[in-house]
Amino acid sequence: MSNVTLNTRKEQAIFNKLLIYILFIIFAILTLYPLIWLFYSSFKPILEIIRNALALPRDWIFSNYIQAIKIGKLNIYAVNSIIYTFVSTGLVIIFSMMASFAFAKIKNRATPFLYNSFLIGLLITIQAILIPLFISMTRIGLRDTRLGIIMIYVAINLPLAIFLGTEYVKAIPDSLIESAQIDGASYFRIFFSIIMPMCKPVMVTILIFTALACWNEFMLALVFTSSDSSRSLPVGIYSFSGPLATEYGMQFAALVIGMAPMIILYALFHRQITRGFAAGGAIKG
Amino acid sequence: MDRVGKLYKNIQRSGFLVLNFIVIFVSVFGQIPLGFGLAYLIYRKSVKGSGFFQAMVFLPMVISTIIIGILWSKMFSPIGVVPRIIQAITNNPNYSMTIMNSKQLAMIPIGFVLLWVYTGTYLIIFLANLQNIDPNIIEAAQIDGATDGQIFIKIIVPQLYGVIVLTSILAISGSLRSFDLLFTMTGGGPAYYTNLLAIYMYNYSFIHYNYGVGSAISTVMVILSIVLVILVRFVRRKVETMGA
Amino acid sequence: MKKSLLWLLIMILVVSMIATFSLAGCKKEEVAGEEAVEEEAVEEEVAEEEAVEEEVAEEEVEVELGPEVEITMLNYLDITSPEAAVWDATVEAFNAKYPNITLTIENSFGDAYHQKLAALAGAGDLPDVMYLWPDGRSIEIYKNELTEDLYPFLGADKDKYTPSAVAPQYGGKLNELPITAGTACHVLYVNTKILDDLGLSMPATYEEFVAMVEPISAAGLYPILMPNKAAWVMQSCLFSALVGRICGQEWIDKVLTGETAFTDQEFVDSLALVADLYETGLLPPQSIQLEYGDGPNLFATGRSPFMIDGDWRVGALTPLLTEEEQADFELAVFPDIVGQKGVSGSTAGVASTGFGMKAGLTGDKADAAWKWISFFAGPEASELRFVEEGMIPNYIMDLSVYEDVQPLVVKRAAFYAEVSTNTSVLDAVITGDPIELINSGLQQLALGDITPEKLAADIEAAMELVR
Repeated sequence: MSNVTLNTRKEQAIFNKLLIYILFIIFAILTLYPLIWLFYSSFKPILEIIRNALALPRDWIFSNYIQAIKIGKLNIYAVNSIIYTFVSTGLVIIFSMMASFAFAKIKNRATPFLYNSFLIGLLITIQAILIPLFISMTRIGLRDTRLGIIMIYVAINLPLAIFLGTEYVKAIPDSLIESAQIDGASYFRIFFSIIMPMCKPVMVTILIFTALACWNEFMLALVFTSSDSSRSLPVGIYSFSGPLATEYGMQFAALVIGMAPMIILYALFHRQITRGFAAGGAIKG
Repeated sequence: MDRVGKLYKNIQRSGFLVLNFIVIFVSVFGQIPLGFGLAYLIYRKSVKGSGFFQAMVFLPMVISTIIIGILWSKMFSPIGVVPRIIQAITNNPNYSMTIMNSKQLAMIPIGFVLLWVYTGTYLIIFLANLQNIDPNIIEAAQIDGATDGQIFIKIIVPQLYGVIVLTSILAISGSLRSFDLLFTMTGGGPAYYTNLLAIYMYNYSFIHYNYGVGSAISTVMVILSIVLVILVRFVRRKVETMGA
Repeated sequence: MKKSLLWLLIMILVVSMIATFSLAGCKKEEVAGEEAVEEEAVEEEVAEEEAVEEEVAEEEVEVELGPEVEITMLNYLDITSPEAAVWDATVEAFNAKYPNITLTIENSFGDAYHQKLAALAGAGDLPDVMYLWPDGRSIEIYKNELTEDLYPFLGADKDKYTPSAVAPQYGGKLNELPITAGTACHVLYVNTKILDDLGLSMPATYEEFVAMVEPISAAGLYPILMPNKAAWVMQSCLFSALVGRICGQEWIDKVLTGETAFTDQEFVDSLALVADLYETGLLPPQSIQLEYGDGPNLFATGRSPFMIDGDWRVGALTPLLTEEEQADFELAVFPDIVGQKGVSGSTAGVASTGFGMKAGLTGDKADAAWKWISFFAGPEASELRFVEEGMIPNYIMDLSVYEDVQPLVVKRAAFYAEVSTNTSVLDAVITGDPIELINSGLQQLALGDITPEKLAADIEAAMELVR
């Protein structure tokens, strides 16, 4: 760079600006290109994908999609995924807000213990609890049921939600609650008419985190479901990428089907989503 | 005890811990500074259309990790896109990518994908916190004649210690658990060059049906992340007392 | 703040204790307890069942439809593969023949299948019938006696099957009824058109093979295509055959009992040959990054004159090629190696997979389960598999009556007749740590990260612990 002479501050500033733009544009290309490549490749027949990975399809074929949906039963699985995501997310929001209120504002001697035991949940890997969980779910008779999956999803998403919620509720001034108590409001009333309305931003955050986690979860759904009526979309998508799989056209189509809903939602609501996400991060650790 | 000894020997032999620390390193010292840096640039309004760029960097977060894993394994495949592009750039049609065959470099593509996926998260978190900083402080500093660098180091960073700790904790626990991505991208191979603890545990539990060893590994993982989290908290306290 | 740190410390202690006990210690107890309970149950049932079985065997009459029965099944099938159509046709035929039996099928595949089976076995909730391996990967199921011995069901029908395929399996029992006469895990697929274009002919020796690297590479092709990103491919599809060839079957039998050792010169030579395959460029360095699914696709697009894979890959190759194109493809085996102790032209093979029955099934359920198992190995299903995929049935039947089959399928059938000698596939006879070490060690060897001598010593050390 020494040969570039930067006489004035202005030139320096322009040069910096250019660098920054290049950096951001590189990021944008890196994000978009793989997705675009995947999208157009999913319209190519298998041998064309192998012959030239980069080229655009010569003629766009839709049979990959039709076959992928038919063979992989992706339509059924998508319905299941939607059910899991909606119900689990709703339950997580309600439970976590209640717990957060209790942990932040109704403290007693057991609070730190209970709170920390939820936080430990943040560190436990799904694989570690897979087998014991599988055994107990089978014994209760909840394996391969939608209810069972929803219960597990609620349980594994609660720790983060409670963590975010508690930190947020802590910031609500005690005086608000105290004055409500003086007015004779019960905890339930305080919760529903003071805490809940004030916690909207963090609830949006929890909604986003949980909905993403439930929609994208793979490992548990794979192990805990057997029948078509309970399998979720990621499991269906993975069935196209098994170790002996050779049908890359269908595989790509399945991948596009798997990520399209989220990308469309993101395109529509990306401001809300990033803002909600940011609200979660705005909490100081 | 025999089992623990054997496990320790296996872990040592295969260098799983080193690989795990590489992932943690990439997460903490790659994703966080990069996210922070980009967030700062957006915060100082260095680019127009920052909303678009922000959306782009964050986009991978909404895609399922198994989809990302499969997608990138296709991209990095010898018949995939990345070698093709390098062939086109270097004008050498016989180029073949071999960094994944190298013990030292096999983690690079994985580190890259980790950055690709998670940088957006940290960008958003840092940006939100930067926007919470009182702009008057920065103005006052500028009036006092502080340079951009000084403002960044003396004012911005100290305000964000808490966030840095939070993000580090998220990064550490997240990276120790990263399984889906590795599982679909490399499956731990070639040889064991990208074999992280989570994959090692999976192999033991589900391929060799040895839950005992598998459970022992998961316990190690939990303890390891607890230790690291404590370490981060400890460092933070030190830094805070020094700053004060 | 200090108080919360204290709490955190206490929590860590508690959790690490709970984790250690509940995950490692207690779990074992739990499983053991469960097994004890199950064993009791099984014992009771076995007594009952034997009585029932005798009756069943006697009154086994065709066409007789029993009562309505539902059986659950864990099948091994990649629903996206060409084999899926054959599977659907088979199930349809079964439903037509036995309308009273309802099959509740779960299809699973690859690691997902094994994981599922492990979890089901752990929970004591195996399906009524499940797809199983004769040894190797299903061995834990047999060790815990979770399957029923099928010999009492088979009875006199044993003569209708290929004797070697219904030979006793683990524990002297017939744990699963094999569907084919056997599986050749190593096949050298040849594209003769490319060879002709390059002016080359089939190599008779390893040296001739190595000499072909230059002309083939010069044409911009892979000398041999063997996509072994997954570690098992090298071991299962090539190395086992090489060991069988260089060391001989006798040596393999002895090494399992410890009479010979992996540190023997023969075995070290076999390992050295793998390293040599990469050094000479017969296997290009990219092959270790190619996914297993890339193989048939690349081979069908003419990217290599040779592909090493299992015989099952015929099923994936046929749909990619027209009948005329198939004429250019041949099935062969790895050429002879100087100083080999095994039989020239041998491959490595395993007894075939098939369905097994959950232990403790009785009455109508056992009857229905057996009907499925024998149907799947029987003539109707075998015919479907032979015509579409060229799988040679275990059930003894006249195959010459089928004319309208794909050329490659015919060649697959002919391949079995040509290759008479099958040596053991290593992952069928070795399990656990040693096979893991062999699989990943072969990749290390390919990457020049370990010497054959060192790897042989490591394998021997690991094997000593399990012998």
